[in-house]
Amino acid sequence: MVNRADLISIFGEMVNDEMLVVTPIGSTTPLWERTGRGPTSLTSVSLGMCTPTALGLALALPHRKVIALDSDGNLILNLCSLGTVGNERPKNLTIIVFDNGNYLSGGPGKGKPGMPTATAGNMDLAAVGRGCGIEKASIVRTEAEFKVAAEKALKEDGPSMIVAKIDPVDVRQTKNFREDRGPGQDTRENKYSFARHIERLENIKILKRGGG
Amino acid sequence: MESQAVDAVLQGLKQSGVDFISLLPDSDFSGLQKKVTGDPSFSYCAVSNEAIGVGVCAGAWLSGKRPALLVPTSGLLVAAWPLTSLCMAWGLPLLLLIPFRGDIGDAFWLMGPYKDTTEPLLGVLHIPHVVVSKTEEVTKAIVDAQGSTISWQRPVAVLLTGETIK
Repeated sequence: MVNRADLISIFGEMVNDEMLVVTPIGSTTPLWERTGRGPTSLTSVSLGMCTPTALGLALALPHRKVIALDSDGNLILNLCSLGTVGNERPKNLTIIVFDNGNYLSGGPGKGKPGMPTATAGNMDLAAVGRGCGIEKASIVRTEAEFKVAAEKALKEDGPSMIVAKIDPVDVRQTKNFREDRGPGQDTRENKYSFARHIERLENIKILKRGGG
Repeated sequence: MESQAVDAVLQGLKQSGVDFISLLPDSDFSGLQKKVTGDPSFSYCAVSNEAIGVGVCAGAWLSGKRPALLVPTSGLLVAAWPLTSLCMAWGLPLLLLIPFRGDIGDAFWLMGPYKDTTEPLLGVLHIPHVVVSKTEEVTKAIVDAQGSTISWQRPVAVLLTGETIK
């Protein structure tokens, strides 16, 4: 297996500012923010809401590539969102699931995994995706497989889904746990930076200033 | 919901600039749903739970759309999580249209609990709301609510009751 940090670093090299990235609460967001794309992404989206929110972006901006960097615990909470993706079939949506098989937030910390998610048992998220109508859904287990799958997903029409089986714990250890937890920006700032980014990309006004 | 009320809702949505609708198919909104799906004024996304609808609408608003979520009364409870964790945390606008089942005068006993939950829940979530019982008041209520949600950057709800959902 591979670790989340390495895959995120690889993926950060593949995307450009024209693409929109949504990340969920948990380990993915701080790792994604290290790529420098935090203010132009929608980050720390609440549990279960990463893929649904990315779907809304993809439907509203069908000409623009949208990527949800989701995770197993997050996605499973609102698993039926895959049914909506499979029916809407947005060509511009890619869902990448970092599947570590456990709830890190419920874990003991100090580099040990938390309680298992369903994917640690019998659940196969790629099979669920295909069953929901996302035909381009696959599992990757190595960096090389991830690169190939991600490049393909960014190049071809979707919807596509990549389930990346990653190490149960992240490389980031917990020595400075509390100090590390402060947000790079809070949700309100993220809303404005992300919306302004889309305004620039699309040449539209989202945040309008009203009169008195 | 009678056709006059459906038309009043559609008129309100159009007048207020709503162009993106998410909805969990529901008997109270079935007539409205048919009209919405066939109307090119709206992008439409059916969802299988209301929480997903909140997420889809959040993404749509951040993309420049003006979304509305049509929520069955019970579904407001399902939507409570992302209404808190997304809309409240980020300060995102969202027009909520809710048939107020369980209001006084609703003859179906099973809806009774929603009299206890609906308005108090909106209060807890800091979602201002207006209750509309007359069809003639529906359009203006929607236009006003949409203006408020954009202006205040938080969800605003219109509860439809009385003759509007007969």
